[in-house]
Amino acid sequence: EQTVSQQLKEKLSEIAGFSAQFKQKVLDSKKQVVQLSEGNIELIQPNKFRWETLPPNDSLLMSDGVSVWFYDPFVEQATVYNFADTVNSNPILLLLQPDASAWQEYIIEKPSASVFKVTSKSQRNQIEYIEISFTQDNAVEWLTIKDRQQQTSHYQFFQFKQTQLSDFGKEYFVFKLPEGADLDDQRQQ
Amino acid sequence: CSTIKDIPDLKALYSANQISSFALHGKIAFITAQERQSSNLYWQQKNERYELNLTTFLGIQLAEVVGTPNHLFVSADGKTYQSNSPEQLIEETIGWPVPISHLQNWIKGVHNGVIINRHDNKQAKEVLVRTSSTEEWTLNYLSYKKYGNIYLPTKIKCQSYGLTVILQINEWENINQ
Repeated sequence: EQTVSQQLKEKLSEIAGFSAQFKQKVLDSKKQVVQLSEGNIELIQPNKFRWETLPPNDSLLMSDGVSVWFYDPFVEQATVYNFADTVNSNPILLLLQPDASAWQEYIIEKPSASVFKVTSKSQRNQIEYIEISFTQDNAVEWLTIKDRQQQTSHYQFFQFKQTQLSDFGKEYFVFKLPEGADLDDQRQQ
Repeated sequence: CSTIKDIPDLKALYSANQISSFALHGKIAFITAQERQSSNLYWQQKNERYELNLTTFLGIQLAEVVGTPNHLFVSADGKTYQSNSPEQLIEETIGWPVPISHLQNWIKGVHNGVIINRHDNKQAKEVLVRTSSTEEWTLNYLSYKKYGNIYLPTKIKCQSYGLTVILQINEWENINQ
């Protein structure tokens, strides 16, 4: 009988790649709406993704497989990290790598038939846990992040489509620094 | 300041000075020569009491600042701090020397500065404000939006020495409610 963590990993490995639109709603510990945003995500296992949030809270998080880039137009700055450094600190990126060793940092439970709960073992992780729900045909339906201040960030996904690398142009997951933008390089050589 | 009973609501307002409570969703950024920090912002103000929630694009809380003129509570990275001097505590805890007691007025376009120039719609554009014998801020009101019959800022750049604080207000809400 498969453990819960094997079930989640199998589900994730069946989604080699997907694209979707999302609506995000963030509630603080008193259930007040702190933030609303929307955007789209394209993800190709094991390490390519593009996570774009639309104006007025626009930002772009993307990975070419080697580095992860975060562009914030509000301060006209891009920050770049090594991909390996980001995977352990951000459970959402775990969705990319069903068999990553980083999974050991998390406890996997199944609160209900379609929902998996991924709880960080380390108190240092600002994210307490994430919950991810799948539809019958294995699409990611929603994802909720709970942080240490009891704030919840709920992502509802729409137009979920399975994809593969060949669906995208060669440069699609390559970040281009916009004209005049500052680069904050966080990659420890 | 005005007592509870005679606070006009939005439609009856003719000046931002009459705004005693509001909420806003937007962004705040702190830029110095060394670094640029930005976060999403949810600001609630009730008379002299303000509550700021600073959050990342993922929805993770960076800091929460709750204050009144003589007391401040800041929670950041899982730790909480209290003090009677707002500006000094904010700088120590979240590393940004924010003139919070002034910002709560500047954000509404209320200031006691010298207006250097104006937009075509007569709203103040560049303003010089002396906040102490040694400190002066330049406020750049980059854009406004009309609410009822008053204009409220939607983007402000506040500069003093090496620090720039940028405020973008996406949505004003609950004005005097």
